Amino acid sequence: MDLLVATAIIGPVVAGIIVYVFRDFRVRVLVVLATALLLGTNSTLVYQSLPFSYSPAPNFLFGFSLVEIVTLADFGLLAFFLYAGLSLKSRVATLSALVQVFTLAYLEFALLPHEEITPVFFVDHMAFIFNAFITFVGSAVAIYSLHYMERYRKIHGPRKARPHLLFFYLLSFLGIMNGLVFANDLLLFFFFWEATTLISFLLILLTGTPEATRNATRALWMNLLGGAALVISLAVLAARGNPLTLGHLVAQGLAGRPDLLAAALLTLATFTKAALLPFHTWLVGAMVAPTPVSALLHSSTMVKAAVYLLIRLAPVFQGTTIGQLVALAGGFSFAVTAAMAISQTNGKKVLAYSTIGNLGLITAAAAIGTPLAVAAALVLSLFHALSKGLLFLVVGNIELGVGTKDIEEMEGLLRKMPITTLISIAGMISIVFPPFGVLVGKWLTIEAVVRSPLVLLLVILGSALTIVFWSKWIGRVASVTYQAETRKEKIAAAVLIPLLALLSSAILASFSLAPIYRTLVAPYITALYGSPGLIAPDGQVLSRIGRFAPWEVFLILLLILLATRAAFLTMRPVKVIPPFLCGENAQEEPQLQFRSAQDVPTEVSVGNYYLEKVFGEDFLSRRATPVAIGLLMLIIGVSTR
Amino acid sequence: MNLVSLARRRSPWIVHYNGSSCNGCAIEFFAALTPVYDLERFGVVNMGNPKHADIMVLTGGANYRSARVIRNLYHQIPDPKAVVAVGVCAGSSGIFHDCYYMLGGADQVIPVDVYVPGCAARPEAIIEGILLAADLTAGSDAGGKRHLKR
Amino acid sequence: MNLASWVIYTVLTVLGGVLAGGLLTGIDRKLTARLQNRVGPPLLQPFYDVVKLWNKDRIVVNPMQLLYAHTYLFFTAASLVLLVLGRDLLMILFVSAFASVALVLGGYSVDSPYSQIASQREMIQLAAAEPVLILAVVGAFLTTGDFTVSAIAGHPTPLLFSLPLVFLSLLLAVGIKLRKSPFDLSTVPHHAHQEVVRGVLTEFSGPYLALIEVGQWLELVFFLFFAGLFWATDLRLAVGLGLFTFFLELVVDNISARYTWSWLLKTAWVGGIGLAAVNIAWLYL
Repeated sequence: MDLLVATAIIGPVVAGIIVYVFRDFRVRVLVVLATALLLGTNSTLVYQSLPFSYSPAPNFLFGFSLVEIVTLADFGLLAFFLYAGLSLKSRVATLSALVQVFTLAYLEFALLPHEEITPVFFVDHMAFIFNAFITFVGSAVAIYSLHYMERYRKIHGPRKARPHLLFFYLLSFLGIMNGLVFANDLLLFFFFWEATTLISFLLILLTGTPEATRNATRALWMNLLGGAALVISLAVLAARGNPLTLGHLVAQGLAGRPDLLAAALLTLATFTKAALLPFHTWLVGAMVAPTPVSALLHSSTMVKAAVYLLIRLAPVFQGTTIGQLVALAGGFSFAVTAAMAISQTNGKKVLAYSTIGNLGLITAAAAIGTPLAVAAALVLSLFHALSKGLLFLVVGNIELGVGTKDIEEMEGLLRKMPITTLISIAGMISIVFPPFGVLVGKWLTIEAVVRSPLVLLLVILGSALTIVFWSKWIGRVASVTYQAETRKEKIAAAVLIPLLALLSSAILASFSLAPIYRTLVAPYITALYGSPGLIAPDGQVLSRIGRFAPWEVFLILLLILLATRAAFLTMRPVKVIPPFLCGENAQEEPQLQFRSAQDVPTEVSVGNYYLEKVFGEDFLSRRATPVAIGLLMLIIGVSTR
Repeated sequence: MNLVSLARRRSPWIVHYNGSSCNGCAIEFFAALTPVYDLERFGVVNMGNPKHADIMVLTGGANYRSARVIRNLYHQIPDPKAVVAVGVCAGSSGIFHDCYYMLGGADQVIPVDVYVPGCAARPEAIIEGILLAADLTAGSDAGGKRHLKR
Repeated sequence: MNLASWVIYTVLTVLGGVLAGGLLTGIDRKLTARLQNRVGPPLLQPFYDVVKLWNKDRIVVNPMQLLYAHTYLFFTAASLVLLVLGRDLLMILFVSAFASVALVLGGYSVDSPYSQIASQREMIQLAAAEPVLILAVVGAFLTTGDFTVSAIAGHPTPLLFSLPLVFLSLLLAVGIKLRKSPFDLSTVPHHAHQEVVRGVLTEFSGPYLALIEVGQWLELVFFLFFAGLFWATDLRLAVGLGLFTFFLELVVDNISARYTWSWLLKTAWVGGIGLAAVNIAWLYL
């Protein structure tokens, strides 16, 4: 047990240090592959011994206990944050760091009678789900980054790229995330939480441009604010005489006497980390970093840490007013960010908003807290990680290939980068359409929140808008310039393999939703509530109120492919002709042109609606942020009653 | 009569182009679509899109500028197709025949199948012309050449 | 349900859907003509059209259009089949939304300004109608306690009694989904409106257009079936309600001009969602 936990947490960190010390490409490749293999094997072994708990010996390292080491590390981290806050002249960051230092000192030295906390680590099926996709998506991102960073270095120069630093952060990040999902001791959890803040700050800062610095500062102060809320919540718990473990918090919730003030403060912390409204700006700003960073921050780690905590706390929220309010705030984030995404031309920003939206959706489901809702939240987390990780990597590849993140300039991409584009279309379909997992999660969420009318309305509006911005983007990349020649795309194996691995796993996992649900999700929910939320006999998932059989829709997809293939063979188009331009077609090659009223050949250019006046980012942000702040204050306020 | 040619006869869709004309024939053509004459009782729909059309209705003659448009529209209509030249201008450029910019009738640019006389042509005559053209499309093979010529 | 009966149900539904949809479209054109004091085309006109299109020359702007036409047809057929098989209504809506998206992508896939503008409009129509439709499903759930069509259809009292306002909003959404005036922004099946030529269908022609025509028949049957669910206690009344919906859409189609997209969004989100929300609110209280 100790070996499994230690490998998951310390292994990647050690690998990171090796990569940092030996700044050689070949070493990097070896270490990254070895880490992927190690973590993969480790996750398999973890699965075989689920559920288990582990507490390190009192004289853990050189006679110090783990608690003492972590305490020391905590203060070290906070000292760094204080320094960063001061040197970046961010008042909120400095203040939050100070609050954290004092609260933590008070908590450690005055409140805690240094009792034994057992178990320190607790690994159940839910922790394993998160561990599994951290391992899988994290490894894919790291392998992809090998080639990506070399190309990035060639384009942006070594000063901006700094691959040794990037890999050090990436790999350590994996270890920290594993620690976060395995921890039962809340002080340990707090340490890992702050460590993710640190590394995300450093990763956004990586390129060192003024914009990166500005956005990193914003990410720092928002996350430190959340950290402060987290540590205050711990102090509240300790002051009321509770042992500081996640298990105890959940048990209280299940017993029907949850500590609501602590839960509300934890919610505030998760809102900052998940970048839900009103904290959405930091995640959108984080897009200045190289793509693997965004992929890792967004899909598998950082932001998922927040929903991990929320899903853990689901029993605490179940049936409370606070739970309803949190669900409302989550649904609000989902609807508003989906609307904002419509007005974005920057592909990475669309991905960012869609990520925030999905986290909002997961939050809404988790805060409802019924078995069905928790099932929805877990299904969404798992599938969102796979599809979104894939999409970030694909956009990174497109950006390197055609030099743009702008959706409008992705016109005709199908002919320029056919392989990447096909993968990206498949990825986008897998994130929003049936029969894929993310949509199943959305479906389950709607069925789970059906008793909370306002949340429901927001979720419904959000899902309609989600379809719009994804279709718009798919349409733009799949749009084919008339008779432009299809280029052969050179794509490195180090890029293609992670992409295909993520895509095929998203498809296969959607197809085998029922067995995955049975083996991974159902045990956790059964252990918690005594009923599995959903029944998943082979080939379908059944809830008390609805049912879905993925194979039926997969069959249709198969039929479509067969029918289209058959149509190509039997009723092949005999002629390819240019589009209708009122008879004024002027020239077809290389660019489609028409004759204007002045008898001048004019290029045909087409573009998307962005509906700025209705869905503009600033317009919505200015109106939604006060509402979101109000909701958060309401949550804290209600919890103090 | 087999089903395919029956269907072609019953469902002629139209794209209309108005060249150099006084617009009289164009107005008469639209009159043929109105409730009084009701072209749609024969399944005729004015599609405004060559890619959906079977029959091209031309009013007015062809000039140097409009020739390429007529040609382009004609080539965008999938086979089997037929062309109806409505009015004397579409037939032989009519009163405009002396003008410096005129090429002549529509048949100077594309093959015309049915000529509807008149200045302006009567809606009844236009309907008959369109139905004649529909019969022509019904008699030809899909993707093949048009059989009947005047 | 075993595989054999599954296949039989599917085949019968699709065949029945195509026949009924084609006939209904024929009736639609005939009645529209009568409303305009015309004779109108024969009842079988839609079938003539499709047979003719099927035998036209096969031209495309790019071959991807085949994929989109098939996706539209198959997903529409699938949503109808799943409806008849009594599956989860919410998921069926998502499947049918994917069908609309296939049409959007079909419009997008070519460089034509007309079909691209229409694709944007079709997407706005989707965003306008989808929330209203989902709210209708939620209303059905709140009345019957189940999301599956089989359970909703088996409910002892007609849904219409508890969901009158939801049904009104559904009429609005069905109008949008069937692209009837005033909501015919993205394409018009058989009118002489030519604002954006033929909208998303502009660049589809011949047999590929025929596939989409058949898809639109199935879509019509699907939404009438959906409306009929609101009085599912008696088959005759269900059919009657479906036909009533059909007739109402047809009349509105003939007496109204086209909306702009912002009007459409406002009408659907304020009017449609508002009506449904009020009705659902009284079910909660």
